[in-house]
Amino acid sequence: MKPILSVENLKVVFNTYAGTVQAVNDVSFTLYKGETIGIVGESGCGKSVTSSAIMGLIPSPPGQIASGRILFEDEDLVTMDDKSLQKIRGNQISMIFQDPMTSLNPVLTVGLQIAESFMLHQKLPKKKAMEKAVEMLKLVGIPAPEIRIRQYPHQMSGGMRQRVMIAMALACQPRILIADEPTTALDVTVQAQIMELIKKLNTEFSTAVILITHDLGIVAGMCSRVLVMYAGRVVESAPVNELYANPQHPYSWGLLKSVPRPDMKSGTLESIAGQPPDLLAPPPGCAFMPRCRFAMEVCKQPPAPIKVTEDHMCRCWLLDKASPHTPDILFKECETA
Amino acid sequence: MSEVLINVQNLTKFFTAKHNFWGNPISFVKAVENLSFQVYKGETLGVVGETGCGKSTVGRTLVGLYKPTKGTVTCAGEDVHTAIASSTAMKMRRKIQMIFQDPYASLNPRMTVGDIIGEPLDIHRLASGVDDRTERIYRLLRQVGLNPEHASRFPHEFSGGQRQRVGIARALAVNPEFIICDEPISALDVSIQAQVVNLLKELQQEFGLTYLFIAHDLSMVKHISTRVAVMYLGSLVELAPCDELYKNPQHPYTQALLSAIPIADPVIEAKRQRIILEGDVPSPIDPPSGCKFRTRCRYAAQQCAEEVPAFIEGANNHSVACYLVNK
Repeated sequence: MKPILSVENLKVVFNTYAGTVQAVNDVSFTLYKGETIGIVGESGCGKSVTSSAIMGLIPSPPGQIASGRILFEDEDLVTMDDKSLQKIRGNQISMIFQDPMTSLNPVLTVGLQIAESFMLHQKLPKKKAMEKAVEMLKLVGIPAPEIRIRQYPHQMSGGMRQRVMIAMALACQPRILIADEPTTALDVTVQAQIMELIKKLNTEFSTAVILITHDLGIVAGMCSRVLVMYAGRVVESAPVNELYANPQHPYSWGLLKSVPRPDMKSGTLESIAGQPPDLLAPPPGCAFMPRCRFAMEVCKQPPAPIKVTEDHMCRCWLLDKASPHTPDILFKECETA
Repeated sequence: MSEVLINVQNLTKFFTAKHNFWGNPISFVKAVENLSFQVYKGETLGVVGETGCGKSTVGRTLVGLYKPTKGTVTCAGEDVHTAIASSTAMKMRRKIQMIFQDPYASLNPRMTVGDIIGEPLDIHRLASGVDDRTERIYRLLRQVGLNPEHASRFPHEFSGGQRQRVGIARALAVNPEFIICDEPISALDVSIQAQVVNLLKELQQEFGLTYLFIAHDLSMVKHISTRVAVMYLGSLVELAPCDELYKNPQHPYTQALLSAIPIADPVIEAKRQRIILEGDVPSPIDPPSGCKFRTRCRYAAQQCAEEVPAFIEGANNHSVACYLVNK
């Protein structure tokens, strides 16, 4: 099967006065129709920049896609001109932003904001577009949509605004939906509502979803594959069951160990010591080395991606043939100690 | 059980929402209504609930930042709010300290970290001289996992996790008995959250501290708390020892809340049945009559609309306010 989106060796840099920040470095992944993949990592690891790059939303200057390709149905979104990009953006690929409080226009009614994409992409007259907007609001589960379309964002709660964002993103039945931390600003009960909604849309319209989050719990319930990012690089990518049962990178393992499980008895949490690196001057070699408890001398050189199984990739020297230990044995020792 | 440190009786806090022409209040935000609970010495009481349920108001009233509309709060037998209004204010404030949610907004950007931590020492005259003050600041910095060299730096030079450590050091400076942690980790990254929670646990053991831990992350609350209180729209709906609450939630709201937590295990997630709550939390200006949760409750009956269910303690120190449970 052919992927609908494939990102190849994407590199995004920001040229600031303080120096060049390598926000995304050599990121590659593919997305198939109807699939949900998760991108996890801490703030500043480049997950949002990756999604902005796909949408063509990197502010330039200071940002710049230094190299790599983003192929959407054999067309390279990186080299595409603005006009053709605008036809795809919001129509074929759309995005739900993190903060529903600030990503809606406060001076336009929500109905108009949803109708806008019908008028723009499907050239519908305003009246028709507004009718469609009512349908969309009904689809995302907003009660009394006929009244709600005439209201402004400030008249709605956070969960409702996020539903409006989703309605906007889904208006033209996109092939790909990018959800950038869609529930970070919301309560768990509302989060469950929104996640259920995205899941339903994913199965009903076979929309492919890229879910960006730092919550490993959400990824476990939603995604089929996961990419773990650290300091601009994908350090591990695997099918979801494989990653949770058998993490290979010390960072993925540490991340999984540092979230308390409500269904288990817990002692002290494993925490990852130290801070994420400064991307202006990343450590040479493996960026995780300063925080890694298994760091070796060789980690001062950049690790190459190694295939653990056919679809499980990991960038870590521990998996190298010459490494004295394999990660699973080291992790087990730590867990029993 | 050990002795009661904080005793809260019928605590109510209303904020004025609207004034009439004469400046008299005509409608109120009922942030907290008729709350009664105890905090035992040396324990961590977790408080959970959705945004706007009044958990931060409880914290702020306990520390004395708000004056309660009704009800009393006592700390080791002494009324907190009368003490704060009288000459013993300083003594009371030394007993109760607070760690704030946002480590970016709660530290003065124009003061060095040393001065931020030294300020409570100055106010309460705890240091016997300049050398003692510096010595104490260095010791506090070491206790929270920072270096003494950090004392001369400014807050902007630190990351979120490090700033939260400074906030903790500031709270510890006056040797308090009771610390209110108002969402201390919600602004931090996952790997840093674990660091801060572990630090809070270590400090609790070392100094015998008592915490009120306010959070919306239910898995973290389970990890740190001895007992957990669940709030909904200004009222307490359930209070139980931590394991008991998570194993055997009784109130329909707690059940929904717990089923909404995502678990970091794809195998378990695939099998789970969620209870999805419909709609939003009603406005605290005009809350529903009777049980406040009834508008979203799966089991709501006639009785729930008529009377407010009493908060009754059952087996295993498990208290619930629900007609379904307290038959």
